[in-house]
Amino acid sequence: MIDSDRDHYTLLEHTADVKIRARGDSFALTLRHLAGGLFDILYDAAPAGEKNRRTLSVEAWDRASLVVNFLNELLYWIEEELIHPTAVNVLAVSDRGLTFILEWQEAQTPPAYEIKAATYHDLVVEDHLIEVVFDL
Amino acid sequence: MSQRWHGPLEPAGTCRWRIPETYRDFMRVPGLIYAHEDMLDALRQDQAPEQVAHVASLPGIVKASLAMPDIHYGYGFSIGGVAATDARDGVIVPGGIGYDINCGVRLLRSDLTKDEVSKHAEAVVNELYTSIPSGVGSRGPLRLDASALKRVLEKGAHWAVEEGYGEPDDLEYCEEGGCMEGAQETALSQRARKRGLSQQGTLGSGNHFLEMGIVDEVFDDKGARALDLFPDQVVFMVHSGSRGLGHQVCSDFLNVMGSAVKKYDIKIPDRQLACAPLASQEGQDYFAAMAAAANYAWANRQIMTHWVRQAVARALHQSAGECRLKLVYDVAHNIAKRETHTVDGEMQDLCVHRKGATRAFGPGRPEVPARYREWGQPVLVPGDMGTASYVLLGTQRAMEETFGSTCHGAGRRMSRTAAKKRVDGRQLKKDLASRGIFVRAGSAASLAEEAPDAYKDVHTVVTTVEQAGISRIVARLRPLGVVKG
Repeated sequence: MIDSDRDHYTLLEHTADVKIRARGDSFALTLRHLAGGLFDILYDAAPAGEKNRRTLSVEAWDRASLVVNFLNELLYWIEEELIHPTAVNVLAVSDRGLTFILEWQEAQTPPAYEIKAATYHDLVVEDHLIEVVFDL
Repeated sequence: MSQRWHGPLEPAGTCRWRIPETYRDFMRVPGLIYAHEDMLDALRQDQAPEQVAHVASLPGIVKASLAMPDIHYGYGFSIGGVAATDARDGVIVPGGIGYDINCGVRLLRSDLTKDEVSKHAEAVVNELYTSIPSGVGSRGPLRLDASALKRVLEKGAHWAVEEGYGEPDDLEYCEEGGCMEGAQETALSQRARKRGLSQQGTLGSGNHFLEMGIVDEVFDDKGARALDLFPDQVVFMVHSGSRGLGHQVCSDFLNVMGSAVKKYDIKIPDRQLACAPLASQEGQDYFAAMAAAANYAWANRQIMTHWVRQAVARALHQSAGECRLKLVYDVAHNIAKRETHTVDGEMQDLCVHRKGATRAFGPGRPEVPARYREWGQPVLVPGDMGTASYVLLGTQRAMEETFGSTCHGAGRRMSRTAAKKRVDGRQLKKDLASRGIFVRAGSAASLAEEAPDAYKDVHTVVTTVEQAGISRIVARLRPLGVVKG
């Protein structure tokens, strides 16, 4: 989580779940801030250890599914690889593809939530605004 | 928070409220919500009724889009939603099952009484907590290889019993006998299978729990005798699902269905309702994958049942045989099933989606275990950790009106964020202990999110389904100890 993300996302209430609204100066930055918001709600403790980076790609068939698939890719790595992601840097993005660098360190605690998935429900995807409901 | 809903709710009989088909152009059938009049204001506080209207748009939907009184805002379907589609030309909707495929609950009865156990309650809860992996991303001592996972996915609870986790009798008291037909391991993505290798035999987090309780009050003597329940009897509940494997199946198939709606020119008002004709390749593939995930969940609850038996025996310094924990029943509350129901006087083959709703078959149905068939299917309705849970029976009225379905729980009324702000988890644990309810949880925050105040009143929910005639209340259970994930 980098400090600048914190100024660009808001947690919104949803009866059973968590909703994040992120804003950015570009679609790439909005995705980055959205990821920062996700990491921030998942971890209370700071990560530790060596900093790692990995380049990941997701494909989709429109922007909405690109956002959902991007977030679900992050959730997969968090759950399956037990990592604490700290930042996302978008390398390339179109309506159907996204390549990004995921930075992470060792998680000191498990995530605060077991998020099942990012959903399409009430999904808002614009260049400068994304709203996503996560199913807990 | 979601906006208040201002749509029409027309009285349609006792505890029944209709959203007329004319409310939205896309509705093919009316909506029908089961709710007590006192619930209406709460019902309108979010857009859950709009989701009931959305579901009414699904191709092939039969009779009505239904919602049970524990309805609350979901994604695509409302929680508490039930929809049956014609198996010949209707659709199957991953969003009508949800991410936690075959999330469900099972009830174990014992020969023990409250007096025999109450002074050991804390020890039992501690033993359960240390014996059964729980919490966010929990992984257990079981590590499946690809071959074992294949058998889990195709055989469900049968695999677990064959491996020594439980008793053959257990299978008779699970919906579908603990194994859904039509499951195909090959329908799952590599990623879904990978997620299943390390999470078998784990509780997970969120609203999943293990609970020790007692039969607090019996309302239906004959029904209780049929289920071998009696006042002050110690019972156990296990609530969990298909873990990350099920979540991945749902996510994978939402992508598949996203293209299917275009391919088959299906118009949906909410993308979370992406679907495909059940008879299409996409629909058949999803059904095979969903059934496999459902089997994973049945195996999961079966393994935890075995560990509950062992943990209780250890805590009470008895053998597992002496404790005699017998399975009363295991219900699924996030699932789609092929079922035959009478619609307009004719038998029809349907795909019944239950999203946060429980099958509640009435007396005489062959799917109900022979032992209970005269009485109807047992229904387990967990409340919150500080109040009560209920055991119900399905009714003939449910068969006629709701495709044999009823409520599944209390239903949330407060967001997790709001609950964490309002409730101090550590204080809650103390308060519950002062009332004789011992709780172990992964964290104070996760406990706060599941605080009793975050849920609706389960008494009102079950009273509503009884007044509506779609279930009969048999007994109320009161918690003595809870393990929260």
